[in-house]
Amino acid sequence: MSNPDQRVPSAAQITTDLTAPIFRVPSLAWFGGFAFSASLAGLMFLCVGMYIIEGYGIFGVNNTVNWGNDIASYIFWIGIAVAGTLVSSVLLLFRQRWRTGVNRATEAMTIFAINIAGIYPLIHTGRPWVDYWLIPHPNTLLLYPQFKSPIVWDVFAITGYATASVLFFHLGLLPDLAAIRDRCPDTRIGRIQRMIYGALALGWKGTATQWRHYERAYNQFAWIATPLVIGMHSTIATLLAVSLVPGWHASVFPPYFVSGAIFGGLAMALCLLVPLRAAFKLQAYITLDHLERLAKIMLAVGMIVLHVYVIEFFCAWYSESPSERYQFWYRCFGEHKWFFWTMVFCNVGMLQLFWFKSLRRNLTVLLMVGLAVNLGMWLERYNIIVLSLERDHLPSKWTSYSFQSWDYMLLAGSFGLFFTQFLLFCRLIPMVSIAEVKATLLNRHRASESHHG
Amino acid sequence: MTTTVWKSPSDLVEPARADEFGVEVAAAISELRAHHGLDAVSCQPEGRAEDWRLLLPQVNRRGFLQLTGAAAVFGLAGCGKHPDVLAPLAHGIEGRILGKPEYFASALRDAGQAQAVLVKTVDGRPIKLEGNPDCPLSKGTTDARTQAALLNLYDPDRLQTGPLKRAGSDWSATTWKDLDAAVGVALKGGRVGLLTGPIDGPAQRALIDGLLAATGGKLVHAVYESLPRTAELSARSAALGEQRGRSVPDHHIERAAVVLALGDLLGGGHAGHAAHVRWGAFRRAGGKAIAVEAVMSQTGTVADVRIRCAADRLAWFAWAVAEVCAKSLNQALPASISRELDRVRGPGLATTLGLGPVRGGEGDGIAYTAAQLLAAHTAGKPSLVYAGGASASRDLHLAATYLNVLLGNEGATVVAGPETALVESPAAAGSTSAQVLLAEAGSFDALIISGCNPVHSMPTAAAQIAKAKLVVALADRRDETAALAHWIAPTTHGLESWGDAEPAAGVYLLQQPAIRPLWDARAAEQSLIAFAAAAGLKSFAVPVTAADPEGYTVVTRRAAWQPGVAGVLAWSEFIKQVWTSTVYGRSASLATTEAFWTAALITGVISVPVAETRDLPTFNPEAASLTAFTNEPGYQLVLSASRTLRDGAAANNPWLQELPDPVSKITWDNWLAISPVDAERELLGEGGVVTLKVGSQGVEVPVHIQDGQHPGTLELFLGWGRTQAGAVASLTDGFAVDGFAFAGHPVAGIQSATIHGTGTTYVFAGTQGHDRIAGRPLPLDTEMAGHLLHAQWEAGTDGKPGGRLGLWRKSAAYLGRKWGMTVDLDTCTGCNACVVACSVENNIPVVGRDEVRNNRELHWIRIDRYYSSSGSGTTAIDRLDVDVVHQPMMCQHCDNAPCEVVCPANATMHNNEGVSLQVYNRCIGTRYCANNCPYKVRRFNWYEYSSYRAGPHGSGSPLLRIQKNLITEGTTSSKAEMAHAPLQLLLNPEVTVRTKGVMEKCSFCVQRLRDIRDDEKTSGKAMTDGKITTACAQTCPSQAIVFGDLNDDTAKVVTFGEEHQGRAFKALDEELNTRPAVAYLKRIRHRTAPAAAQKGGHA
Repeated sequence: MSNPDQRVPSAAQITTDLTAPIFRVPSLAWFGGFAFSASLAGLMFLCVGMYIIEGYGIFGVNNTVNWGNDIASYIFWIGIAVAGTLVSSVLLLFRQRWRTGVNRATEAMTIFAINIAGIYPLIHTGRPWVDYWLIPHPNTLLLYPQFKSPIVWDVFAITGYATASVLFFHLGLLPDLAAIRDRCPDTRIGRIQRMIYGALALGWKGTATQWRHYERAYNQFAWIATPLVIGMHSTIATLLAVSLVPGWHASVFPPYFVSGAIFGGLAMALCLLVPLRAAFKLQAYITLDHLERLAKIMLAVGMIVLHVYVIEFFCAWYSESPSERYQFWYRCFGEHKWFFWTMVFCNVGMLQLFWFKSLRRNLTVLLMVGLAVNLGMWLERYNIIVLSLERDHLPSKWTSYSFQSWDYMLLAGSFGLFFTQFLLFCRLIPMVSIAEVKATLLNRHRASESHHG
Repeated sequence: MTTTVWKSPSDLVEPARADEFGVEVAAAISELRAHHGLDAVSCQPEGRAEDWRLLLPQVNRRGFLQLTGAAAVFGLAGCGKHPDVLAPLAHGIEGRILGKPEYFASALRDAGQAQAVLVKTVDGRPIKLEGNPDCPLSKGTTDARTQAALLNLYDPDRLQTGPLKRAGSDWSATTWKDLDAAVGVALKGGRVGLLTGPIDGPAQRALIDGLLAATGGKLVHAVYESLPRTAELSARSAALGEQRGRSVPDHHIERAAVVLALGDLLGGGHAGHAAHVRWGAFRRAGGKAIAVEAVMSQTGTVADVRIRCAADRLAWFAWAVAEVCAKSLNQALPASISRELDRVRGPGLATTLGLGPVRGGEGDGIAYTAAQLLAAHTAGKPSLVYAGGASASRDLHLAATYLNVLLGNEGATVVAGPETALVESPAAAGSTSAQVLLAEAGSFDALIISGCNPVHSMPTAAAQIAKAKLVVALADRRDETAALAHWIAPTTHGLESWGDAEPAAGVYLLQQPAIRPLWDARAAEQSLIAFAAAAGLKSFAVPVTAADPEGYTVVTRRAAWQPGVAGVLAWSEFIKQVWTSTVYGRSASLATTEAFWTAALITGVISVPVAETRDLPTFNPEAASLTAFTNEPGYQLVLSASRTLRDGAAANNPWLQELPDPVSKITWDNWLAISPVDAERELLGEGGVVTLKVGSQGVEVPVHIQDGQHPGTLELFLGWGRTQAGAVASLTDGFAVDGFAFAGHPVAGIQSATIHGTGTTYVFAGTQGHDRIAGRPLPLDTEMAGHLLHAQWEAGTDGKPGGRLGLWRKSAAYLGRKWGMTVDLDTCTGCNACVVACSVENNIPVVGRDEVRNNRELHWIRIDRYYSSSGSGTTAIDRLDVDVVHQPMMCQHCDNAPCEVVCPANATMHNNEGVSLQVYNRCIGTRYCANNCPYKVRRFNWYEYSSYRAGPHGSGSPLLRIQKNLITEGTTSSKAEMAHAPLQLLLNPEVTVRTKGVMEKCSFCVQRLRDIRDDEKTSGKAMTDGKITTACAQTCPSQAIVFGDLNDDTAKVVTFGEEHQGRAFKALDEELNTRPAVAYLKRIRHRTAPAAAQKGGHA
């Protein structure tokens, strides 16, 4: 497999390759990874249970810094969720054929990230058992959410986005689900699998009419999802931007958050795809070209993020507001300056490696940058949420926030939940879109052959 | 506010009845009662007077049956042994509505000094204390310790099971009868020592005098004061003569034009509540204050000019000022003093003494101070030179006395005379001093210790008390002293018993109970009477008759109320006798003693004019002395009474423990204040733990780097480190450092000490995040000349001509009322009374040390304290000379409230009277409101705080915390701790107890606003301004907080603001356009500053 791009598998081979993990007994490594992730995910549920019994005080937040790990991580995960939809819908609209290699995994990443992102705000309230008050519903108490509140906007943004993502994901899955259904062995387990996949495939037969409807629907969904993903994350940004907190109160937040989310989401995609293609031998489908293109997009959006970093400092200086100015001074030179400088190193410093083609095609570099940007983006959200609150308007209530053990457990737990879902995904759904790969690869193959002949 | 009074049977029997019904009917009632063996009052709650009037003339069948039924009921009621005639609600029961509060006028000593209070009781339980507006000292206000006294009543660590007897180390329950008999035997046969706390009530004095007279020299009495004023009294008697030296002077700050404070006038030990009340009047009249001190005292924080001076050179400073003044007034300085001053004069006294600079003023400290004092003197106005504090030396008091005589203040602002209440001095000729009495403890047959705790505050007392043959402690808990006793007679809390006090000459306070004793206890005075009666002293016994076989005169239904042997004179009757004779004799404004007694019960205060000695005494130059100071390096340890706990008597009160110190803002722990310069030299950071050594005694204590502290000075506080005050005081996860351990008794001046860092750091539970204003647009203070910037209270609000441009000229129109507040930073002393008052009124739980450390304290009002100085404020030198300002900060009830728009659940909104409300049961706890509040006044219930007595344990390992909070029972960290004891009784039924997960904040005491609306609806009359006020405004001693209706142009809140509009501002309004309903008036610094420096504000 010296040059995997050269090897063009047959259509049957593609289906066999990509559905193989579903019908194979998982390896010991998978079981190990799953057990570890699931235990971490268990921690998250322990935290939630404990906080419902004891109170939100088990976490490190206080009366000045009322949001900490919870909202920072929430925005982190929602950012990751943005990238998947970007790859699937925006690149589809721009007719970027290469997306087929990576869209399935990134879309799945979106779904998993968004449900974690959905959990965080639900469990950050003091009384989670009445969270449903945030959704308009008929009741005798005449309760109605207050639509002036950006939290309510958030609720709609997230639920809307989650719904669209799931539908989009499922739509894209239909031909593949049918392929799996058709490949289920005639054993007892196989019959059960066939029943489940068959139900999920919604009667897909692969007729020309179905394909025509499918392609049209998929494109229409892409048109819906593209503004949704930008609008959704802009809404999340306004959650902070409408406030009076120095460091939050900035009109640049919507584009800042969208570009930051794409940046961080692609970094997460790199972190997932690089090991994935090695573990499941998908080099033929997720090629270096694919990864390099992701890196290029990262470079572009990363530079936008850097631009906003500079803009923020300029605006703070230009505002002449002592609170704003102090806030940004504090981020650079205050108590937690290392959070800021680590963020700069990860998001700005490491990114510069991507200017070089050889490094963009180096798997180790890709993975390292992916990991660094993930850390950097988490810190970025932490800096925005926590450091802004630590130093707001009245000096008498300045304080400092630190993680308690429960915060670490919750954060680790959310990663556990993410990887648990991802590992399940690896075993249950083709990690690369079978139908699209076939179309792309075979078309290309045919085209090149006719060219030569 | 109408008050309810207790009536004794003799009052109830007849005059009123006779008037009401006619003599015949009254006689018939009496006969009927006598026939059924009824006492005067036990029919009172069941049978109303009107009923009897209806029944008597027409006894038909129906009436007969009713009478028979009633007779049966009363007959049964009469079967029990409860000759019970202390009846509440003797009058006013007709109008009584369940849930409506009643007020009893009373007096309390929990703050150290007696204060007149109105006790708000709801359905029989006291839930709030208010100042008594009839009291000329407090003018309807109270201080933090009196506000917190309610919790002392409900303290579960009080003795609950009646008298105790000790055998070895085992305590067993005993009976009052046995106890009285045991003491009676000793009192009958031998010499008995009686050590009491301050005796200042007329009846208290009469009781002690009576006991001394009746025992004929076998009883020896002494007054024990934890913070005695020995140095002051000794200096005054040497300088002014024996007669003036016997009584503690009363400092009338409000009469002075200039106050020179050489000690803490406001904080800690001797600062009474009255000082804060007078401070408010003093500042409003434009009085100037100069504080000269080594440590940063509360007075130093509110003075116009504060000058640093080493603690042992304060007397030198005062004499140096005296020298300038004397020269100017052509008076002679005592020769010995001139000699001493000449000896050290050198290049100039200010330099030799190492005085700090005069911030914002001209000249050196001595010249500046003398000039100010002389200016007042020239203008014909008195000034006041105050020396005080636990460590103040006799030399210093002498110098202050000299200055006061020189400037004509003695008799004008320093009032001492034969008529001043004798707090300190012996109550009668037979008394002796506490030290002498304790030294002789072994020679007594019995030692009775009542209402004081010498073992805590006098290190040598434990060994002395142990020598006594029989020790009887009259205490409300088994404290350090009572633990050494053989018998403990539990005492009632002030809210449960009768008493009286005379906190200042001519101001008589009557203490009447507002609730029956919660436990089996009796007033200390009642115990003393019972001891005397048991010893066979006739004057303390009452005859036992056939009609009154138990011989009680005052008792209640509950046996525990007045247990004891038959034939004991009731303490309440004793008080009545003294009051209707002695006090009545002095007031003589009412026709009859009965009318006088009723008036006293209703008002709680009888104030009679006192002839003040106006003649100026002469200062005896022979008395003057001045001890040499050293220039050796080393530390001077100054001991000061805690500004929150005073001497620590109420150390088990979590409200006080969690109260931030007015200066350091530290809660729950003692600290060693150190100068920034010294901290830098010793390489100590905030909270660095050091070993403090005085002589051979050492203790580990964390340091607090105190801005403004003179280099070379250490300050440690008294009143901490109680070991046996109860569960709250004994919470062990902090530093239990007892300043009294170093003190000696009385506190022996300034001591030299050494410190050595231990290398460990302790994290204080402080409430202030940052000490400087950091360039924020908060114009907190201003130099006198610079404050005339135009500002409008309501329209402009931002200190600029013509107000400000905005999208919304007026964000909302309030057609009816618009509640608002004015806070005068110029009179605020940072005393914290508002903070406790708010906690009591609004059921705010205590969150505990760990939670305060986590920045989760729950106080709805806090007092921000900011330092400012020239320079950056970050170097040690810059931190030496600072200006300080206190800013009370509560919800600002913004018209454009940032919190309200971000709440997704509509749980916080404005009502139609301009109050920002928090609807607890609608809150889901997203906490965005708190993030978005620029004032950070919103408070979140991170845990179920309301079920803890002193907060959950928030730190430690997760598992440990679960164990402590969920599982452990019986400690102050277990859940449902509030349900164990009577603590839940103190909750205000009109305010929701919040559960975990909801946000809360100041509501402008919305329950009071609702009450008034209800009253207006029922009465049809509009309430007048001042009738309604918030808990903080009501209790503020210096009246810095004014609350009222902004739509009422005549309301004080408006007129007060308008009078001072040149210095009004609204916090952060200009920057954020929040439109607060709270306006602040800038602090003014009266300084004669060089012209160029006049523009300065708070840097």
